[in-house]
Amino acid sequence: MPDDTPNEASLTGKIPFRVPRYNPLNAAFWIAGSVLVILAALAILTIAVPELADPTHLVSVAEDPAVAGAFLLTFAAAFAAVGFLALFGTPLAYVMNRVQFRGKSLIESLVDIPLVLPHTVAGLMIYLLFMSRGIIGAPCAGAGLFFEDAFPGIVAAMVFVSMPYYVDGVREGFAKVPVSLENVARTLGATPVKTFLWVTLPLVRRHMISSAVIAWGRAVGEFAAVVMIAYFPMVVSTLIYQRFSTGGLAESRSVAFLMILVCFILFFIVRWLTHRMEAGHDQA
Amino acid sequence: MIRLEGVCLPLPGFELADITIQIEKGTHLFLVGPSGSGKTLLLETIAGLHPQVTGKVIINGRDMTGTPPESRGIGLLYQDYALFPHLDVRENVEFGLRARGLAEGDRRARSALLLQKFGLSSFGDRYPGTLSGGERQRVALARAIAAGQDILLLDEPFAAIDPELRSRVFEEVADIIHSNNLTVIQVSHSRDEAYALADSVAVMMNGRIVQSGTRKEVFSHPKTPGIAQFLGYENLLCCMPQKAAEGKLFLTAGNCIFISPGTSDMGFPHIACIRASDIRINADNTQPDGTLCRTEGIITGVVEEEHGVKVVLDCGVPIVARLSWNEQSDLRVYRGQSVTVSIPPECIHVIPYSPGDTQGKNNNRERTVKNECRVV
Repeated sequence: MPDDTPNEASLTGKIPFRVPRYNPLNAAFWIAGSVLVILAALAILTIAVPELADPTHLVSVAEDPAVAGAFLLTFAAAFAAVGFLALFGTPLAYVMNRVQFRGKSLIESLVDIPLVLPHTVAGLMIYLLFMSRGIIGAPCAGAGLFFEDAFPGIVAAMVFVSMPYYVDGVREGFAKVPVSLENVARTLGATPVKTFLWVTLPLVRRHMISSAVIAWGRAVGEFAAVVMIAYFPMVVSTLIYQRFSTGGLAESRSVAFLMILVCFILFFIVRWLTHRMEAGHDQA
Repeated sequence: MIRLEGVCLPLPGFELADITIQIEKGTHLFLVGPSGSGKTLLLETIAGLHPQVTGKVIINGRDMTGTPPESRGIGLLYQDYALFPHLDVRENVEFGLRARGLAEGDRRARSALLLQKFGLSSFGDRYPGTLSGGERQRVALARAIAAGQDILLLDEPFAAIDPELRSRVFEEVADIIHSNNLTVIQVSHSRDEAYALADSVAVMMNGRIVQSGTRKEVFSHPKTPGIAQFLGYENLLCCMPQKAAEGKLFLTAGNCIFISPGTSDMGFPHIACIRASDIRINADNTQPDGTLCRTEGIITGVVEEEHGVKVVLDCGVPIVARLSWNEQSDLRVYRGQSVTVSIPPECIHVIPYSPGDTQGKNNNRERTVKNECRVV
C-alpha cells in the first residue's frame, strides 16, 4: 500500500510566495466591464454628436411647446407615480419584511410581476382595469375621474411598471433596520406608530430615496404601458415614437437627445445628493 | 418584583415552556444557559414583545401579561446596545422621555443630569457610531434609566466589550445597578460574570428553567449532570455507592473512593461532579490530609493554558485537574508521572444518575460522563 503521508521535508520546506505586481483578475474584469460602458457611451454619442453639430435645430426643438409640454407631463406624472408608491408601497414593503403570513410568496410574485411581463401586457392589464368599463375605471368615471387618454391613466401605468423597483428597494431597507431597535423603542415607551415614525422611517429614508429615484427613472422611460391607456396627452416616449413615425429620424433624435440630457443631469444631481447624505450619515 | 407563573411561548420550532420564577425587587438575577436555550426570548417575553404568551407575567404586583411593552416600565439592553444610530447621545438618552411626552426643557434637564452621572457630559452631541463599547453601554444604561425604568433586562451586555475594559465596566454597571436599586435580569454565558454580580441564578435549557436559586446554591449543587457541565464541572464521574454511614456517602469509580456529605439511594449509580481546580495533586506521594478523598493515578497529559496547566490523570477513570503556574513551578508534573490525587469531600457534588430525567438533558449528556456510565 503506497504511503501517501507527506514527509517532514515537504511539510516544512519553504513554499515560494510571489506577490503579483497587478491583479490579472481585475484587469480581465476591467476589459469585460468596459464593453458595456463603451456600448452605452457609443449609443449616446451616436445621438449626441449630430445634435451638438446643429445647436440651432436643437434649441428650436427645445422651444417647441409640444416638446416642453411632453417633458413637463412626463416628469409630473412620474413624480405623482412615485408619490403614490411612497404612500402605498412603503407600508407594503414594511409588511412584507416584518410580518410572516401565509401567501407571502404569492404577494411577492404579484409585486414583481411587472419585472417579467412584456410592458404591452402590463399596458393591456392597466387598460382593462382602468378603462371606462373597467373594474376600477367604471366607478371612477362615475365620480368624474377618467383614465383613458388622461393624466391619471399615465400615472396608473407608471405606478404599475415601477412598483417592484420601489417596493423591493424599500423592503431591503426595512430588512437592514434591526428589530432590536424597534423593540428597545417600544420598551422605552414609544407606541408602535411613534416607533415607526421616530426609529424605523428615518433609518430607511436612504433606501426610500434611492428606490424612489430608480422608480421615477423607470416611470419616465415607460412607453408601451402608457401608450396603451393614454396615447394623448403625449409623454416624451410617446412623442419620440410619434415623431419617428411621422417626421423620421431627425425629428425624433432631437427630442431623444433632450431627454438623455435632462435625465442625465437629474440623475447626476440626485446621485450626488444621495452620496452626500450617505457620507454624512456614515460620519455620524 | 417580577413573578412569572407558568409562562409558555410557543413559536415555530421552539417554545418557552412552563417558566415559573420570582425575582425580588433590587435583586440581580443571572439567566445562564447554552446558546439557543431561550434566554433572550424569555427577556423579550418579560418585556412584552411577544404578545402570544400564555401564563402570567406579574410586575410589581400587577398582572401585565397582555400589557404592551411601552406600558410595562421595563428597560431592555441588547448585546449590541441597540442605540439609535440616527440620534446623537443626548437624543438617545432623551428618547424615552420624549416618547412619554415630557416637555423639551424637562427632557434637557434630566438628560444633562444623567449624562453627567454616567460621565457622558462631553459626549452629548456625538453619534453612537463614534463611541467605544464601554461608552455605548453607558449611553444605553443612561437611556434605560432616564425613562424611569426600575427593572432592567440585560442581554449579554459585556459580550461586545474588550476583555481589558470588561472588569472596569463590570464595576461601573454594578455601581449603577445598586445605587439605583434596580431589579435586573441579566443573560450571560460567562460564569465569572455571574459569580461577580449575581444575587441569584437561573439555568435555562431547551426553553425551560431547569434550576434556580441563590448563586451559591446553583453553583455548588447543580441538579443534573447537564447543568453541572454547563456550570464548569469538568469531571463528571459515574460512581456506585458502596455504603452510607454517619451522614456520608462512600462511592467508588475506578481506583477512586469518593466521600460525599449526605445520603442517597444505594444500588443506583451516581454522578460525582468535581471541578478540575478542586483536585489536588501530590507529586511526592506523601499522604495528604486524612480527611480528603484520595487515590493514586498516572499523569497522561499536561496541557499549558493561559492561567496554568491542565493535567489529565488516569485513576482508573480519567480525571482532569488544573494547577496554577505557581503550583506547577513547585510540583513540575510531567506525563507518565505517578501522583497522589486528593479531593476535599465538600468539593464533590453527587447527583443520583437517572437516565429518564429530562431536566438538563442534552444530547451529549452520556458522553460527558467520563467513565461512560451506561445505565438502563
